[in-house]
Amino acid sequence: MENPTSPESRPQPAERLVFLLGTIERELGALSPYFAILRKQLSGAVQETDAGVLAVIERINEVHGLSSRQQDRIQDSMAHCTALVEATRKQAGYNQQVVAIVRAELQGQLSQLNNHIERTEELANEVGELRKIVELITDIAAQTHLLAINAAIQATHAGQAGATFKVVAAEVKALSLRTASAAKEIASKISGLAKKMTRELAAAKEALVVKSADGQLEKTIQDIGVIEDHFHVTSGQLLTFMGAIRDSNNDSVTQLTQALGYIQFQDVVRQRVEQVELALQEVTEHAELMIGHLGDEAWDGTLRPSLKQRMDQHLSGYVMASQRDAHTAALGGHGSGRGDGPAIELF
Amino acid sequence: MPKTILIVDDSATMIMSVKSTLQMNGFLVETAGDGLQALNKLKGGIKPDLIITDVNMPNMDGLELIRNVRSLPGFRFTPILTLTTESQAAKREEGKKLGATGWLVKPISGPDLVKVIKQVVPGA
Repeated sequence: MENPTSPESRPQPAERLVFLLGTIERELGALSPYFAILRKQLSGAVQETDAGVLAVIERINEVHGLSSRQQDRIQDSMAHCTALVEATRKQAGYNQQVVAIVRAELQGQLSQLNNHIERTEELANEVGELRKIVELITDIAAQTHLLAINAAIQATHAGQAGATFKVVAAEVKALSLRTASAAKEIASKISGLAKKMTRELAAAKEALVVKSADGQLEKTIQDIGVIEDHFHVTSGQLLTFMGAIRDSNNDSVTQLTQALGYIQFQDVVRQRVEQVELALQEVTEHAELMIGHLGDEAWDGTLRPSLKQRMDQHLSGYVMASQRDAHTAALGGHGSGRGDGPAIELF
Repeated sequence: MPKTILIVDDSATMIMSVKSTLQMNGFLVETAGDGLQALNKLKGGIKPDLIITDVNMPNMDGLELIRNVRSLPGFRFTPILTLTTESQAAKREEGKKLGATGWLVKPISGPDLVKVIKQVVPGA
């Protein structure tokens, strides 16, 4: 049996070289599908992030749509609420005017009623004084009557000399009787008048009580004022609350547009990945170039472009400072760490 | 009256992102997938108040678009902003010479973008 490691079985240098070249050719040939796989993987990843980002943007738009509709409703509500507050404010102004008028009218009526009662009481007092005078007249009439009777008696005793005086005494007696009768009639009239005045006074006082009971009206007016104040405060709070919601919605728009800005990183990453895909394509082409020369006896050993030239070419093709920095750093250099100008520049 | 903005980019995600940002802030938006498509839209009659364009695009890049737009009647003074990952000074300088109004590097936050737009579009 032949020993494979024996000097006889070992390939000669030329054969070994052919063998090694064959191995290198196979391995280099395998690079092409391998890199194709890597490019496919990267391309797939980019497509997936594209789809994901578009879905995120769609959701952001839906959120914004909801927020916009909510804001529209809030603005409608605020407009209605503002109109209601304005109408209520005007109504409150009218109410206050009406209250002032009613209050003044009521005060006037009460004042008139009090004056009326006072005058009636004064009149009743004066009537009471009249009653005393009538009593005095009645008393005088009674005494005059007695005096006339005595005078008539004395005139009778005087005989013929007292005849004239007897006539006078009779007249005085008749006068006293008429006076007493008139005084009685006056007393009766005064009594009737006093009763009427008492009834009038009672009615006036009752009216005063009723009018005073209109304090209920004053309380109602105050209650309306309190309700108006509460409404004013509550509607103010409501407007403040709605304003806060509107501000919050505006903040949401700012946050959403911030998020949309961050999403642009996907485009930056996509371009960097595309550069890597391009580099893999270039390396694949380079490997195929090498394979093409392996069996070429006329090949002078140079590769055009060389891998170094390809890398330099790749470096000049970058559009982002971050790409150039990463490239330079990988080769042991130092990148600038910044772009070639400000991120926002207006000319 | 809402201002109209034409967004030109070959990235669907960029188009959607910027479009959503602008619509949320009350702008009307037109879009184009590259410079050639944008140019055809302008020739077709749309009259945006602002053009925001990427630089590196297939068919017609952003710088070529700016050159063409500036030669179109009625677009001499229309503001044009680039929004790009391109940060090389030479490209930026070329954009300025061609008539770009400003150079914005991706990514840019929504509030910053809106702030710049309000600076370059009268009445925005």
